[in-house]
Amino acid sequence: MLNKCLGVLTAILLLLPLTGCWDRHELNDRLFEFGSGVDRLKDGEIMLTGQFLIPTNSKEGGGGAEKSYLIETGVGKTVSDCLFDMQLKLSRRITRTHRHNIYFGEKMAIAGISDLMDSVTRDPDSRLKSDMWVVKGGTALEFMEISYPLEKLPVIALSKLRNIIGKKTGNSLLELLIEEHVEGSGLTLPAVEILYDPKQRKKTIHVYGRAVLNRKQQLAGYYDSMESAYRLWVTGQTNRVPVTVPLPDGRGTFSVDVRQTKCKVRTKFERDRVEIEVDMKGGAVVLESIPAIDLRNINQLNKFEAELNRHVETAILNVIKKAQQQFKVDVFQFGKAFSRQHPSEWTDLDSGWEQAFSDAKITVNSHVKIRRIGLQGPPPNKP
Amino acid sequence: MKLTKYQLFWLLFTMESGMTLLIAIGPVFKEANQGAPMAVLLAGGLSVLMTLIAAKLSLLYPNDTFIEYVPKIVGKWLGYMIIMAYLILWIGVAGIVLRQYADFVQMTLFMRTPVWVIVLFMLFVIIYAVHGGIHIIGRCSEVIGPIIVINLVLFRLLTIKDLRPERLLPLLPAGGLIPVLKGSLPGASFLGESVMIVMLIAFLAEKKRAVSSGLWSVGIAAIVLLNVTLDVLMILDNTVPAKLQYPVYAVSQYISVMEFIQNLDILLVVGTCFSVFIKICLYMFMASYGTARLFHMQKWRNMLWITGLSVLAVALYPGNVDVTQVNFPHFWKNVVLPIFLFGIPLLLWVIGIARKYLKQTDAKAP
Repeated sequence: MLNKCLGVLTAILLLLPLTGCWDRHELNDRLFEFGSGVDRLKDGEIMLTGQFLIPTNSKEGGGGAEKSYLIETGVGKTVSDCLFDMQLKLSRRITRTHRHNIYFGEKMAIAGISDLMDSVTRDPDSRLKSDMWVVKGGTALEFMEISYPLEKLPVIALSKLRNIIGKKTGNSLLELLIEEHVEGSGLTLPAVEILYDPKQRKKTIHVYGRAVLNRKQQLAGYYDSMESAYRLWVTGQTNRVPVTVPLPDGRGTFSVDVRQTKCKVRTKFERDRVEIEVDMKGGAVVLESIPAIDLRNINQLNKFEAELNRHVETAILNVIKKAQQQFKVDVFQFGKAFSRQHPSEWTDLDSGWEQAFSDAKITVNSHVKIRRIGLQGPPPNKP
Repeated sequence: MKLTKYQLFWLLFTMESGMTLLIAIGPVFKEANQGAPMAVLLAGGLSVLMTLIAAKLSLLYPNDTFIEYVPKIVGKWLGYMIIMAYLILWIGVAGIVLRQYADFVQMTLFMRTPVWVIVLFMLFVIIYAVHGGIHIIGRCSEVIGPIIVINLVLFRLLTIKDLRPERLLPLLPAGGLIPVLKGSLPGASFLGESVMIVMLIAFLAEKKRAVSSGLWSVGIAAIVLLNVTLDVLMILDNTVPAKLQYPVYAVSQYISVMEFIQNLDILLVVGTCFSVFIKICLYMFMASYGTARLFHMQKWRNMLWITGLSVLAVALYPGNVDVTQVNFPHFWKNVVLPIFLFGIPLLLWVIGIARKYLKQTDAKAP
């Protein structure tokens, strides 16, 4: 009898912890941060900008006249300092589990971002999936203040944009962490800029390309959008590259979309010099041709194909040369490929990879095939 | 109290797969770097060997537990000393694992809940289960084990699109075999816990199946560990995992399929809780039952309260995570693995066989 009573009593008592009230996270007390920005102030302090979803407006569906987001800033010496400062202005607890994007102002990127990463990788709420961006020629705050009509939260726009233009996954945080451990490997972050359109009298966002950081995680320069697309082709992280090819003798240009992009990197080590051979492959779809040519003619098609491959070869060679001469860091994961193909030479070379890459002999071979020509043979609108 | 062969299999598998995945992978990468998969493979082989020795040792006295046959093999006093050391070890590891679990769960879910609350409630559930006896724990594991397998399969499928297979190569790093060997030790020290089979075989209904059940469970746990290591390597590359507290947790947060299957870390947390539950249950049972047998007590369940309190004390003792996640695994790897998981069972087995052959001495033994 006593046992039964005790049992019932315990059962009732055990109901209490079931509610889990100790660590309740009421949705009403939360503020979800979807993007954050970091800027460097003059005196070496940093300013953290957060873009938050305003809870009540978010239910009404996107694109309304009312702003569905809130921007708040915090100033301090470290990121947590800034967060605390920011929290002093907000009535709800900042929740960072849903943060997709982190933006760095250009000044911040020039000063170096290595000290900012600690809070990102240490915080259990922070995800490795974050995408980091550099705002070219501007500050993160300026960028985040631009309203974007298509998305409820402007910071989300870039994640989607990036997917559409062909990058497989937006994960520049993880890429940065991995590249940092490969000696001589350059870190890159996607770059975005703010464009002012004087005719429409509005500012808009524009993906510029890729920011290249040196080994100290300071900004070394930029690749524009086309150069970045070629770089992604070489590193195998994109599924489409749009290419516009000028024909020789001023006969006009034609545009193709290269899909199923593949790239094979072969490295050699001969006479103290690294040789890198890059083989590009893909299937192209003709999108547009200015010269009125019937591509149903196999000879013409072969000519186009040869022109396309020649163009791709020089373009990619230029992109790689830019890294060799201007940035002096390897942003193509060639070091990794070399370490895989020649493990013993890699250990000898290791810390010298930056120099070895800058001096390396690069050969690019392109074997892109034109697979489709669209709905027409010769242009129907021209005689 | 009887165990079926399936229960033995699920017990060992469930116990091995939780904390091992969470904590062991980091140290493996730290030592072996690119050679982590090789190291895990080696660790799997080592632990299968250790389990085989432990099983063979137990089958010399199929109806006795470790507590009962050790004195028969090496004599009363030495046997008691060995058993005491094992009992203390079991209580210690149960406490530390409980704390590791509590630290992890506190970090991921219950920021503001004090550690002692998490520890205490888990301990209540564990004592309740152990109070029922080993067959109850066995039945629990038959339910929990498949859930963990489902979780693993789910992770397997959802990470496929983020894998970069080229990161697997080269299989053997430039540093050679030594880092791989070193890296296999953290893995083996976790997988080798299956040596606890020495306490379980006595309860097994079909003794003939002991070896196969034990080896299969360890082998499959090793394959699971290998699978997750490959995942981590292909997503995080070979240097980042060594720098993270919980590499697998990072991978689980990384999963994002079609933008709406995200934040799957909760599955991992739940899986870990389940696995830890079984693991601590087993250690608690072994410690309580063992102590009771050692002191010839009739009711082993009375011992449960004392071991429960000791485990609670051990769990609350560490001041920070370094004690439980760095110092203790270090001790476990350098002292427990060579001596308690490998050395002593092997010696006992050899001596036991010798005794079986020399029947005269066998007859005189107490």
